[in-house]
Parts: sequence; structure tokens; C-alpha cells
Amino acid sequence: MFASMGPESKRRIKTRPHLVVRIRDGWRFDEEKSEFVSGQGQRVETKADLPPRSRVEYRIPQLAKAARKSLSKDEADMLRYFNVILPSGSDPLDYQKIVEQWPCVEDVQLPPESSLPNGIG
Amino acid sequence: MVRKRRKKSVEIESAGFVSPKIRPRKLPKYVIAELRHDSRIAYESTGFAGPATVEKTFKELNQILSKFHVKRIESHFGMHTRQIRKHSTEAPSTLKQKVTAEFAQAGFIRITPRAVKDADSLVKHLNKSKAVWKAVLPPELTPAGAATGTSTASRNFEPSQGYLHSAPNGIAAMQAWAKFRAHGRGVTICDIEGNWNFTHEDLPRIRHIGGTLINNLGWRNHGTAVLGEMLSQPNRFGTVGISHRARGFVQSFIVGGIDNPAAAIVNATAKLKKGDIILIELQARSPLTGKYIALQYWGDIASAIRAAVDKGITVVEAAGNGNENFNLPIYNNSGLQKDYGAIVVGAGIPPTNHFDYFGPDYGFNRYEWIGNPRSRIWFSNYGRIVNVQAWGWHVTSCGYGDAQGGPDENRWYTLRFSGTSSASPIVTGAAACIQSRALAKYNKPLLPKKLRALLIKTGTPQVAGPRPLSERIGPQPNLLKALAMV
Repeated sequence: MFASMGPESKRRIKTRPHLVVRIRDGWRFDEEKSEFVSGQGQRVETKADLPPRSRVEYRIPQLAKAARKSLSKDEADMLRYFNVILPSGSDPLDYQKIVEQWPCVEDVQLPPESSLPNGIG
Repeated sequence: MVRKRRKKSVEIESAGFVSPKIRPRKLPKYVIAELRHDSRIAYESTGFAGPATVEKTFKELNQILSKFHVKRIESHFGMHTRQIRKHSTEAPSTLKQKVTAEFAQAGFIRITPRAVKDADSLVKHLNKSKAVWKAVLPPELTPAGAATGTSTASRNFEPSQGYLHSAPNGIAAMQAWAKFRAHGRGVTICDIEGNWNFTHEDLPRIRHIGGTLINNLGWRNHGTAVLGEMLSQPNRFGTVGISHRARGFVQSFIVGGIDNPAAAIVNATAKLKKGDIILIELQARSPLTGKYIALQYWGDIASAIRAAVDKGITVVEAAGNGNENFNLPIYNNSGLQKDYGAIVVGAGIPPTNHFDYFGPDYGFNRYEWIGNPRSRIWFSNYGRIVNVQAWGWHVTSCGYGDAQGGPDENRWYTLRFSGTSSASPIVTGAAACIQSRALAKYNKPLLPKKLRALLIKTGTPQVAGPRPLSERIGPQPNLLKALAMV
């Protein structure tokens, strides 16, 4: 079998296990405290539910640094996506249900495990 | 006693045909002087001679000969002294008549100095004489096939790039280059995947704009093959890219230590301008069926695609190789049934002569099972959102090394790049050619959706058999038709 025909190439890079979270409209993220805050002042402490060495961050950090008014509708929408990054060795599935319980969360997904579309599916 | 092994006159190695280096032969150095037709001077074994009216001139020439200790003086065309003298004395009347070849040849004299180093100087002195039309050193001749060293360079795979050929087999890129001079100039293409060979001999300088590279040969070969289809350079070896005058950027989807194609798209968008193109060369498993699907299923990626399109950047996206129907009810309201403005590319069957038969072990029972050219290839995803198709099998490009291998990865080529991976760069290259034409003609690019509509409208239609037309992958671009409408 030729290399160019074969299934996807095996990945040789270790990436941290994580979940992709979309938050509800009207919530924002307080980066300093790693908390989600609603318009009414309700707070979700993310650290309390996650294992040590976890962190929550904007999925698209470049956009978080930009002025909100300069963002298009889609770019603003992307600011509702967050990575919940877990310590190496942990299984994101163990935390999916926990994160879903957060009142700020609209949707939680495992990230797409990207591969190369050069093989036969 | 150790015997020296004689070098083979010709060697065949995995990298290609190698011929021994051709050394110029050592020959005596001489000067060719062409006398003026009307000089009335001829040469004799002792030197130049002529009537008394030109005595001053031929004496000057003889002084030059004596200064350089000439070893030999003779006709350059082997003519006899008498013939030459006859022509030189006839000269004034002959000039009014047709100049015969013999008359012209009589004026060429070969002068060999004793010292080789004197040849250049002799040329200079002879050129100063009124009687000499021109004095030159003879050209140093080598066989034409070896003059540029091509026999030791990589082979030329351009003839096997059938996707460049005219429609319906290819996308008519070669015709489009000739007729519209649309080669992608002024357009930047950013390929999003995992790694590339930045030093491949046939690729231009490629700029890595972000993300962590995956240090793996498979990923590197893939990225290299993708770039080769679009950007490999026109020369005497390797392949030639569809849009070989476009600039190449690359962005890895590993951002911040995790898989993050959305961040990769946003970063690429920030580095590009209107009219540029992002190519998403990735797929991922569907959480619903486990089959490979297009990345716009995921909301953040879909938003990133639409944000890029809104900024005038064309996004080309591989549909994926899952043999998945995006129209299934399970995908209702998902990104696989929404239009975010990307050009979603399916994979079609190439013409029969670009399809090897590997036998039953590879799952091909019969040629007939493979299907008609431009019908959906058995693994390509399909559905309403799939806009256009291109070759999904045996695309010739850079990388992998099945066509030309060897120890140097920079000289690897493939005849077998496949999947929606091979189809998407063909469409991307076509899009870059169209945008370069629009830039040249109107000084502004087409809007991404207009470009997509043009590719669909002017493309060569999808064909049925054995898989029905309802399994939509769309037409194959036809650059000749598309550019005529720009």
C-alpha cells in the first residue's frame, strides 16, 4: 500500500485533553478569577469542579484581546466558546456531565479530533 | 592488491537517471576571423596578401600575426588558397550580385596561435583591423541534453498532471494560463493542516504563520503534496502548481497546545486580505456516526469560516472521506446542512488512465466498480452543501516518494495523492487563478460567494454511475469557461 493512499497519519504530538464549551448569551468570563459571570451577577466558579492544574480559556484568544465593537457578529459569537483544559492523563468524558451542569453552559462537546482527509474513511 | 573499480558510464538510482559529468574536451584554441567582402585581401600560407591598393591593411594584419607567433592559418571551411584568392579579387563586382555560399565562406579564416593564452588578445587585435568584419573564439560545445545538468536533476512529472489538462478530464489550467495569463499572481493561499516540507526543491518560499508543527512524516508529506498541487514551480523538473504565481502561507491547527482549527482559521484570517484563500485540509469523526465529516459541523469552526468569508476571504474546505451523507436527518440544523460561505469540495473519479488497479486485496474487484470519471468516488462525503469536486485519486504532486524517492526528502514526488485532500487543492488553485484574473482586470477580487457561484456555473457536471447524481458532489471546475466570464 502506498503512503499517499493510506489512512490518516498517526499523530505524534501530545495535546492536552479538553472540552469545548459554548456559554449562554448574557454571560461573560472573568479571566482573573476563572469564573463565569451572568448579567445579574451570578458566578460560576470553574476551579471548584475541575481537577488541579485544569484551566479555562477562550477558544479564540486572539479575539478576546480585540475591542468588542470591532468584532463582527460571527467573531462575537466565537467569544462564547471556551476550552476547558484538563491535566494530562484525565479523560474529558469524566468531566463532560459536570461541566454541563454549570448554569452558564449552553453546550459541551469533545473537540473534533482532526485528521487528514487523504485516506479512505 | 586493490583494484580501482571503473565508474559506470551511466547509472540508474532510485532518484532517477544519472549520467557521468561531461568534461569539455581539450582542443587547441583558435580564432575565427571573417574578412570584409570588399577588403580584397586573401590569405596565403605565409600570411595575408592582396593588391597594392590595400597593402597598408594586409601589412597591419601580418604584423598582428607575427606579434602572436601564429602556429597555423587556414580556411575555416577547408577551401584552397586559389579559390580564396579568386573570390577576394572578384569582390567589388560580386557585391552587386547575389552572394554565394562559397563566396561567403572564403572570407572565414581560422588562426591558431602558438600560445593558447594569446587567443583572447588576438581576437581583440583582429577586431581593430578595417579588413576584419568580426573575429571570435569558437563556442565550447557540449551535448545539448547535458548542458544544463538536467540528467542529474529530478525527473519531470508534469506530463502526468492530468488534472491540469482540458475539460472534461481536467480543470483546463494549462489552457487558462496560456489564454488568460492567470497564474495566481497577487493572491495568497493559506493551507491549514499539520506540517509541510519547507525545503522541497519544487516549492517556493512558504511562510509559517502560526500553530505547532506535528513532527511526523505522514503529516509532512500530506502538506507538501497539497502545496505541490497549487504552488510547485514551473521548471524542467517535478510538477507545476495550478496557481504557481500565488504566495503560500501555512498555519497548523494545533494552537495553544490543543486541536483548535477555529483559532487557526481566525489567525489566518488576520494575516490575509480580501481575495486571498484559506484551505482547510482536515476532517474529523462525527460524534453521531463516527464517520469522517467536514469541520464546519462544529459551531466555533463554522463561525470562524463565516467570519473569514465576510472579510472577503475565500474558504475552501475538504468535505472529508467518510462516505457520509450530509443530508441525513441526524444532521438537521447542524453545520453540515448550513451554508457558511465556504466552497466545500468532494472527491470525484479521475479519468481511467489515472487509476491504477491494485487487485482485489485493495478492495477493487473490477474496473467497472470504480465508476465513471467525475462520478462520486466511493469514500467522498456528499450532500447539498458540497459545491464542487475534483480528482480524488492518483493526483501527481510533491512528497511521499512513490514516483521519485531516494535519501533526499526534498526531491520526493508522488503519483498517488488521493482523497478529498487531493481534490481540495485543485479547487483552491483554480480559485486563486480566477482571483488573480479579477485583480488584473478590475484591480479588485471577486467576493467569495460570487467566486463559488462562478465555479459551479461553469464547471463540468457531475456524472452518475455507479453512484447516483443524488449523492451530490457538484461539478468539476473548468477554468477556461470560468475565466471567460470574469
